[in-house]
Amino acid sequence: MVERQKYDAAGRLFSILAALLLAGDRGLTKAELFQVVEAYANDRADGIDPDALEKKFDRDKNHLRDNGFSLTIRSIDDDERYVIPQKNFAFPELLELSPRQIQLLNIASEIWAQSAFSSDAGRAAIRLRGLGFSTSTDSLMNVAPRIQVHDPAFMSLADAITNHYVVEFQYRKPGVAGHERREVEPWALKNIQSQWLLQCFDRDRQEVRNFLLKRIVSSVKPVLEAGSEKPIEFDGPSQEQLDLAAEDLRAITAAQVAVISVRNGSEAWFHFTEDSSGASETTDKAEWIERSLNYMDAHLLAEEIRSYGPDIRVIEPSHLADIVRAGFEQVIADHA
Amino acid sequence: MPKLTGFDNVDRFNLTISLIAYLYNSQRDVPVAEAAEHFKCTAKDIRRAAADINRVTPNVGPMENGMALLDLDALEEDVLSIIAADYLTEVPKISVRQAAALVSGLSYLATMPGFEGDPELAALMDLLAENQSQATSLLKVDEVEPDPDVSTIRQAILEGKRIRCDYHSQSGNRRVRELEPIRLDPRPDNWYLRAWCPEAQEIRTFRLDRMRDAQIIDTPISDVARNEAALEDALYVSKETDTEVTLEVDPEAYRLIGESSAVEEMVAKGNNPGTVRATIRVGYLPNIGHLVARYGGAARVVAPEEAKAYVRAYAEAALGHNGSTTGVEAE
Repeated sequence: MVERQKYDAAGRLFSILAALLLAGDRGLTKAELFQVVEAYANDRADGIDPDALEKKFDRDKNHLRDNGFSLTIRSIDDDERYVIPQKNFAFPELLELSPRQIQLLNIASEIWAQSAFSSDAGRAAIRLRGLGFSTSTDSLMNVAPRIQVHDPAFMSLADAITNHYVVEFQYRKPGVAGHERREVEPWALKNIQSQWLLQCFDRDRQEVRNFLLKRIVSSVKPVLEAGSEKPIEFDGPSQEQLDLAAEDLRAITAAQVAVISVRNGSEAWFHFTEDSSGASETTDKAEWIERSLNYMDAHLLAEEIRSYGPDIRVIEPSHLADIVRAGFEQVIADHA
Repeated sequence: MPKLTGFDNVDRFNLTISLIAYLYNSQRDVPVAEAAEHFKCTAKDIRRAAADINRVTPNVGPMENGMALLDLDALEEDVLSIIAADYLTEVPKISVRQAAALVSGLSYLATMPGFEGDPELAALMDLLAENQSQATSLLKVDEVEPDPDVSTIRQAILEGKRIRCDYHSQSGNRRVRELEPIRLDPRPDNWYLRAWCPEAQEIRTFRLDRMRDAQIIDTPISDVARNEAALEDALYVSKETDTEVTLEVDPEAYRLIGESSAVEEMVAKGNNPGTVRATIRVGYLPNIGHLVARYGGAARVVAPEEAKAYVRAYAEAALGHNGSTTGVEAE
């Protein structure tokens, strides 16, 4: 007599997966799954509400899909059967990761620590650790890169990009009052100088556009097909389209040049001038040092400039100087 | 070693899947502790995964006597010994989003000094690209501008030596300092160094853009720096002497409150949807000036008055040069 066992979500998910894998290409019907998966059988024996069981099953299916299992429904002999296709199911056989690769993996999976993607990266790393063995020395651990995500729009956009859903959101352009609805086909998320940027196709303007996530002031929602709950889908971008979009962005940055002047030896000087040549202020006695730099967005550069207060001056372009000044004036007005 | 933050149910599900292939491919008995070390989890997580594995039998039902995949007697001794495995002997592929999260981390790592052109790193990325080809283009993190001091500091860490450098502190104090480097923390905005400061007798965080001319000197680092095992991720560790500052923050300035926990949504006022109220802790209060003013109006101090005054004074001082009145730099 086997004692009845308690299952948590981890144990339940694993038994569903095992049941489906062992059932092979023929798969299992929902009724069969509810029978052979002991966690479900226990629930039914406990008199679970059928709707609650269905909801649990839906959640479990989503977890399986989120973790890479392409759970599909096949009609076999008039039955709807759940199948996990065996083709292309696993990482290549005989693949083994070296101890150093396991270490690299560990560093990479920590990069998203405490931000939206950390659980995805963490679970992916758990899975890949199954492909190798580690040694006791963590010699690479003296570098710990991290990426922060402060933008609430990030996860919804990552989902929409993966699922090819058209989305809408409210976007606030700097220096323009109010905000505007945008409807886009999201392509990719890029982190450029610590700012998250959405690369996408703007459906109203019929153009490839870039949006800074921090200027999205609403939640990001899928756009639904008329009279339906189904999100509108689009064809994902080709590699060529993505490359072109990236190239355009680089061209914008290359074309925009600012000239600034920083006080020699100040924090601004430390930040904005190179120290590679050793040509520091010992050889340059001038009080102010000029340098030019490329920028992607004048308002972002203005933020950087504003954090160095009186030790920096904008020489050109004049509209950048105006943005910096207007920002300070607003700050004074807000803190009067 | 990173600290263990604990596995949730879905993490443990992934652990169970990977554990079978790991044991199958290792072709030997593995102590529970070793598996926990490898998978960066607790021994308890491993034991629970082992129990889940043993509950499933080839005829898809609850375990009957003697059908266990892992040897039960060995398990009693905290050893994982696989008897027979006829499913999950390979590691199943991961989802697009999971692959994207990992690939972007790896490709970010690949832009850093010391990891550029690393063949083992490249092989990992190829593996994931093959897993899910879409994953490689979904997310991309541009390289952090390399700081010239990075390679010197890396070398110093490897040799266990002190560095000497010219450093401009946040409070405006500039001088030559000696530091015992422990770990480099690259972030998309800047490179940071965690180091033992022999003068202050504590571990501090240094920003490499405030540092110049780092040189390795022939003094070995002290035991306290050498044995520093776990460093917190947060770059700023708050102290009791900190001042709490309450802010109103628009989405454009969320970064300012990134690591603070008490964020309260505000009723959207006119054109400001997404504006929140939050409290941050500031160690050296005059710093609130540049922290807030950089956002040019997207962040506003609510209290205390002293902090408000610092912000206003900072902006006024800055306008002395950026305002139209000086006429030195314009046109």
